[in-house]
Amino acid sequence: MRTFKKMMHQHRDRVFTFALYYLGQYEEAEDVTQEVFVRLWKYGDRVEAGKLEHWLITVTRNACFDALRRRKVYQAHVTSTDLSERDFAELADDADSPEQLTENSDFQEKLEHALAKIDDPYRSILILREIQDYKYEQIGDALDLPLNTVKAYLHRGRKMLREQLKCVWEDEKHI
Amino acid sequence: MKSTSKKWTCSDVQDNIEAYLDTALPEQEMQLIKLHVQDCHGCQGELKLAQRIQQSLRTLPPKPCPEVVTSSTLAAVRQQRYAKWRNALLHKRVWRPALAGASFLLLALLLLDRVFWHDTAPPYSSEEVALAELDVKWTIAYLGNLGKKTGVTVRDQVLEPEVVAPLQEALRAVIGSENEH
Repeated sequence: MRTFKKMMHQHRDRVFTFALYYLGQYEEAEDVTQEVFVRLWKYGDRVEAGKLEHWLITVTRNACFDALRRRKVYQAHVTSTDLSERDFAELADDADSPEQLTENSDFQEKLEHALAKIDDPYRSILILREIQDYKYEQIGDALDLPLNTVKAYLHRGRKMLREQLKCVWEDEKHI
Repeated sequence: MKSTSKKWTCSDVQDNIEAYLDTALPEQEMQLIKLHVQDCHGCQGELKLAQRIQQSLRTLPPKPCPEVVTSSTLAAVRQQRYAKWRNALLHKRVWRPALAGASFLLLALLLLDRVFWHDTAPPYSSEEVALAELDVKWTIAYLGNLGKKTGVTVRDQVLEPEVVAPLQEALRAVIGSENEH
């Protein structure tokens, strides 16, 4: 139990960060994080030594897929069809400094919105590489993709964001 | 990859801006994009936006996992551990060997009791049984004789179920218990 606690304290922020940027919803990210660590408790002894990070990425991503599936089923029954504004506002609240907040918060908020809308694997790769600073090799291993494909998808993902954020950028330039 | 012999259009440049920013293109293509962007206002805007996205993504902060998630996870894990322990206890892992052990112990105690502590003395000796049998015969004969003397006929229908059968049954029980021992 002590080892498990130590592992959890070591990796929980990474898991939560991925889930939150991937899903764009606090509660879902919390659920996913809990689910991932309960799985780690159950199956941790099967994880190869030195492969824990890889395992965590894979399991977190799969848990996010499940959460999205559940959301789709839920949304099929409820009228609300988009992500809540509150969750993205909370996401933006954690910017580094007040100056950065005033300067970037609107753009970052829009960026997070856009990020949560692009398809996988582009979204996973963007979060893992650009936000969480994983190496291309680690991403390739975890997502089972060749290195060049990871790089190409990263560029394509950023291009998708650029297309989505063009109007925001235009508005900013006029202000 | 775009042929380097032709001049690149805005669309070609904009398709490759992210790769250009990461310097992931061959040197020749890097130069072509650089030259194009210097003269193209539209592509300059796209490049700036791509740079802004790249920088903003890299400055997005990591999110600290709320403490409530840690505590609820640990609670869930403890619950699972308890459930696992309980299942192990209820199913084969503990109970089966325990039951087998208890049965074996019980059987061993019974055998020991049989070997070392059984009661060797039968409740009645064979002489006592023979005497009792004789008593029954005499009683029957006496009743028959008494009937003849008094002129009262004790009919077999009465004598058999009321006297003979209970006496025989008692006798059988006595003989049975003696044989057992």
